[in-house]
Amino acid sequence: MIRKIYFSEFLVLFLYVILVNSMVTSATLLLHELGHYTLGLYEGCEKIKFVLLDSEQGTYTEMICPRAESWYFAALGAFIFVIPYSILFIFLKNFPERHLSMIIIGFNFLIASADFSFFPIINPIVFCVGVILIIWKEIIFIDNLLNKFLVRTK
Amino acid sequence: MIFQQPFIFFGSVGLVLAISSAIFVWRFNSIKEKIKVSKVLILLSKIINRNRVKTLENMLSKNSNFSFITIQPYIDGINFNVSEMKNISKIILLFDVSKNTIPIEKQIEEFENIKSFWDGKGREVIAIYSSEIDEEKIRKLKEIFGRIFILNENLLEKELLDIQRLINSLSSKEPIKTLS
Repeated sequence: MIRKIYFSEFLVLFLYVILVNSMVTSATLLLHELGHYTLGLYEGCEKIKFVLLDSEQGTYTEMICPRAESWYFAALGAFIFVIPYSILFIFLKNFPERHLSMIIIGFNFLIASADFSFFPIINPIVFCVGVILIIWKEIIFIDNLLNKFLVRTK
Repeated sequence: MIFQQPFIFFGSVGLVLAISSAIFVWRFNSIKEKIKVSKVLILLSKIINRNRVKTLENMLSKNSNFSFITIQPYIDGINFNVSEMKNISKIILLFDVSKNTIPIEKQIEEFENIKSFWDGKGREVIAIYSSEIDEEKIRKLKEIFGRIFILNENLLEKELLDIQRLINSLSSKEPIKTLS
């Protein structure tokens, strides 16, 4: 397949990729924190604070839990909303956007890495797994997108 | 107890955006390279009027993604410096094989004089005729160039199969024989 590629096509597709990624990752971040918040609430943790933008501590959810187990349970909240959210994208079978599903999971690992700070080795491993997942699936997503919109017959 | 993220909001989202932007630029350039427009240069024999091949050129353009440039080397010359001459992937040598036109040897000689320009590049040979075909000319062309495409310039619409074969051949990367 041979044809001319215009700068406008580059611009539109680039903006689309940026927009989709920003929306998906922002939503994942919100759902991730919301998961901590919900399970914390369920476990009877108190003084729960959900902070999205803090110039010093960044994005976080703060709570005081009655038992240590409650805290671990609340930590698992990182996945309770994010996994169903990522599964939704799998249903976009014939669209390149279905690969966003694994990008969401990768991003969730990336932002969850700090939640595992009590395990010193797991923390960087989870972070790296997240970044690798994101890179791998971004390549596939962008390749599919470009092939769909640029490599088409006349 | 705090569930704190490794970055502030803009940091984590920014990391993903930086990754996706870099990957996008990388993949876009690689796809652009793969599908960029290829130019095909049609070299006409001196006796073929440019207007005679307009229909052929239109049909080739309509059915393919190549961009075609037609020149008559003896009249236009070949200017290696003009941007049009860059990135030419294939060359078509166009001969007239009608009866009672100038001998095919003379036409071949014209192209041999500019052999350095097209030698080594992928090339195809088209023999066109208007009314009656000269079998002897065809035989000589086949002898020298091997495969040739024979088209009746007045009945091009009926020769779609040959046109398609020609386009497929232009798209292929198989090595082409050159004059010896």
